[in-house]
Amino acid sequence: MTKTEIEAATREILESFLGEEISAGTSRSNSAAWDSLQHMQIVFALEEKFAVQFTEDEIPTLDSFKAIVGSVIERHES
Amino acid sequence: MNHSIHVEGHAYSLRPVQARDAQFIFDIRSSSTARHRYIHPIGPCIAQQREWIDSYLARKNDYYWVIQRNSTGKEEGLVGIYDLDNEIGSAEWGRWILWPSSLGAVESALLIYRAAFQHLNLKSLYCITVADNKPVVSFHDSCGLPRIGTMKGKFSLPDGVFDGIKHECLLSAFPSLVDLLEPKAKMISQRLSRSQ
Repeated sequence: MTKTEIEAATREILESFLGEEISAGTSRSNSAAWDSLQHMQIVFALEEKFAVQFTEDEIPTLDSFKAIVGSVIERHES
Repeated sequence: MNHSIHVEGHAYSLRPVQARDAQFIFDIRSSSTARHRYIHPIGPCIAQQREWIDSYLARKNDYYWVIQRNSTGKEEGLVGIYDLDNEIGSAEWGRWILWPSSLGAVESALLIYRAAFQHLNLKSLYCITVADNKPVVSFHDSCGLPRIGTMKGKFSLPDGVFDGIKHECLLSAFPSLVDLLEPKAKMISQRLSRSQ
């Protein structure tokens, strides 16, 4: 997948769970709806979409649009 | 209250707070993360925490638990049920705090409701969240709990005075809550098992 495709897919997943427009700067700290329950649902959806498996240590760090995209790109490149 | 209620989950369990937990409680409540600005400050030393635990253990109608990871036995958070009204079968839950790295939020919430409805036989359980603590307010909304009121100026904290938002779960709504949270708790448990 290209970076653009990863960004688009990530945006779609975040929008579906958070119910708000997602920008490059969207994060858990500025999204009121990004709670612990939504976070796990987002993580599971990301794993399914991108056929990856995040580690337990990684999951809490996937706390922003940028962090997610970066992590997925890193996974796909390795 | 000195109680013996254990509530076991897939990846996490609730076990009663004991005197030996003073250091853990002190550490987690005094750790400086942005989320902890919405909890009441604690005393500056472990001795005061021990005193608090002693008075808590002597108190009635107040249940405090450590959120413990089953596979490691490690403490990852705290949660409590208190202000029980035995006449109407109602209580408040709160004192909910987890390490930022913990994935125990979803299951610990489910377990506290199990404690309330399956162990304490309550008819309703409510929580009052600092209105400014949007992720936690959102969590209760996401659990499908109705907001039943806003309490003006409920919380007086170092950062200011905040309103409180009250959510309530009735016994009749408990099965739906289980239907929502149990599958998520199982998935998280499976994920944690794979990580080990």
